[in-house]
Amino acid sequence: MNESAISIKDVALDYPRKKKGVGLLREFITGRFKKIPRKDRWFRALNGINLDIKKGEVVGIMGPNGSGKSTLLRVIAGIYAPDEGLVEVEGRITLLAGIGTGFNQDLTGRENIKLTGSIFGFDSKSINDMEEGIIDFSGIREFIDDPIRTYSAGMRARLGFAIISNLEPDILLLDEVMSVGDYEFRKKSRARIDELVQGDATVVIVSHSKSIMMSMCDKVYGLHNGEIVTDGEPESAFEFYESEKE
Amino acid sequence: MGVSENKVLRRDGKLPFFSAPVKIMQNLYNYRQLLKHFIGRDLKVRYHNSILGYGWSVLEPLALTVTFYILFAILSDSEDPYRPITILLGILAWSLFAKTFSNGTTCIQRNSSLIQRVYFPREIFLFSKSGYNMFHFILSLLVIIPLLINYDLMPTQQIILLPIALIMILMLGTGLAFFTSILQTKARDVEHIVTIGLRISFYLSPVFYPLEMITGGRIPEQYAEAYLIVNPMATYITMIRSAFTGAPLDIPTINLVITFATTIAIFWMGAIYFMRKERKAVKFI
Repeated sequence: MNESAISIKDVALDYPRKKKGVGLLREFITGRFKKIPRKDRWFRALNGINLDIKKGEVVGIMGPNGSGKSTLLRVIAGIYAPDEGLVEVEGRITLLAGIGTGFNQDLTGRENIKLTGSIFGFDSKSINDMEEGIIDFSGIREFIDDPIRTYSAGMRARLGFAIISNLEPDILLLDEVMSVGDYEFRKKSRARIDELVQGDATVVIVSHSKSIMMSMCDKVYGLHNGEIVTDGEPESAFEFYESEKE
Repeated sequence: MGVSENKVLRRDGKLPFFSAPVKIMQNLYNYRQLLKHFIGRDLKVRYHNSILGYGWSVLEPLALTVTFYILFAILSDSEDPYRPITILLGILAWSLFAKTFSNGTTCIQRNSSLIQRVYFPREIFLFSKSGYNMFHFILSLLVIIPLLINYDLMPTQQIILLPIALIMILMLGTGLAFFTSILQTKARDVEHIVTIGLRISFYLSPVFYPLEMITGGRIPEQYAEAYLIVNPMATYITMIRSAFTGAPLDIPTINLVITFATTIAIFWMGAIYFMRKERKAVKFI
C-alpha cells in the first residue's frame, strides 16, 4: 500500500485574470490596446504544491472559495498542465465536478454512455458490459433512448454520476458532488462513493462539509491562496478552515 | 479492460518543438478509438436527426451547382464541355476545405465543457472534424457518378490526383485551424474573421469557374504564377477536376512543388504552434 497513486512535485500554475478575451480585437481597433504586464494578466492560482497520495488513500481538500481547490483537482486530472513542477498519476482517473460530463445534446442517453466510455479509454466491449449497470443505477431507464436535450437538470446529473462512478476508476476526484439529485439519489450516490472508498480506489474530495471529511478521509489538507497550509492531519485542517470562516 | 489501464499520466512544463507533428500522430494512433467515436457521433447527428438525412449533404452542392450553371450560361461565353462537373467538383472541394478550417477554428472553444472535465490530447477535436468532413466529402462525391455516366467519362489514371488533393486539402484546412483554434479561445472575433476570409476566397478561387478563366491569358503570366502560389486551393480544386475529367493537369511542375511545400509547411508549423499553446489556451475557455 506504499505505492504512490498521485505524486505532485513543486507544482505552480498561472491562471488568466480576465478569462474571456472577447474585447481583445475591439480594444485593438479603438486604440485602447496597451501592453499589460504579465503579472496583471495572470495570477498564481497554485504555488509550490507538494503532495504524495498513496494508492487507496482518501484525501480531502478544504479551503475558502477561490483558494484553488478545483484548479488543483484539474491539475491532478491532467486538464491543466502545470507551469512549473511535475504531476504524475498512475491509473485510470476520473473527475466528477458539478453536473453532466460534457454530454452531447443531440445524442440519446445510451449513445452518451458509449461516448463517455470511449472518452475515458474503454473499448466497445467493456462499454457494452457496463451499459446495463449504468442505466439501472441512473434510474432513468424509460428515457435512456431520448436525446439528452429533453432531460431535466436532475436527470443529467443522475446519468453523469451513474456513468462516472461505474467506470471503476483507480482514482476518483470529487468536486462538491454530494449535493446532486433528490434525497433518494443522494443517498444512493453517497453509498456508491463509500463503496469506492472502501475498495482500492484512491479518492480526492473537495468539499465544504466537515462531516463528509470526517467520515471518509484519511488525510485532510487546507488550501489557502493556492498553497497547502496544513500537514494533512484532519484536525489541523478543520482548525484552519474554521479560522478562515471568521 | 479498457485501453488506458495502468497508464501513467505525466504532465510537466516541457513543451515539444520539432517533434510536435510526430507527437500528434502518436496521440492520434493511441486515441484512434475515441477519434472513431467522435467522427461517428458527428455523422450520426448530421444524418439521423433530419428527415432528409443523407439528402442534405448532396442537396446543397447540387442546388449551388444548378444556380451557378444557369448564371454562367447567361453571363459567360466560355466553352467548358463538362461545366456541371466542373462546378460541382469545385463546390465539393471548396466546402471540404472551408468546413475543415471553420469547424476546426471553433472546436476547442465549443467543447469547453468536455475539455474541463477530462484530459485527452486536444488535437483529437481538430482531427475528428477533419475526419468527419472527409467522410462527408466522400459521401457527397457519390452524386458525381450519374454525371460521369451522362458525359461518358471513365476514370483514367488521372484519378490518382483525387486522393493526393484530398490529403493536401485536409492538411491545409487543419494546418490553418491549428492556429485559429488557439486564437479563438482568446478572442471570439477570430471565427468571424475566418468566415469573411473564406467567403472572399470562395470568389477568388476557381470554385464555380475553371482555373483557365484566371490563368488562361486574361492576366500577365507572372501574375498567374503568383496567383497559384498564394492560393493553394486553386491547384487542389483543379487537381480534383482533372482526376475525373481525365484532362491533363495544366499547372507547371514548379508551381505544384511550391504549393505542396507551402501546405506541408503550414501544417508542420501549425502543429508546433498548437502543441506549444494548447495548454495555455484551455485556461481561457
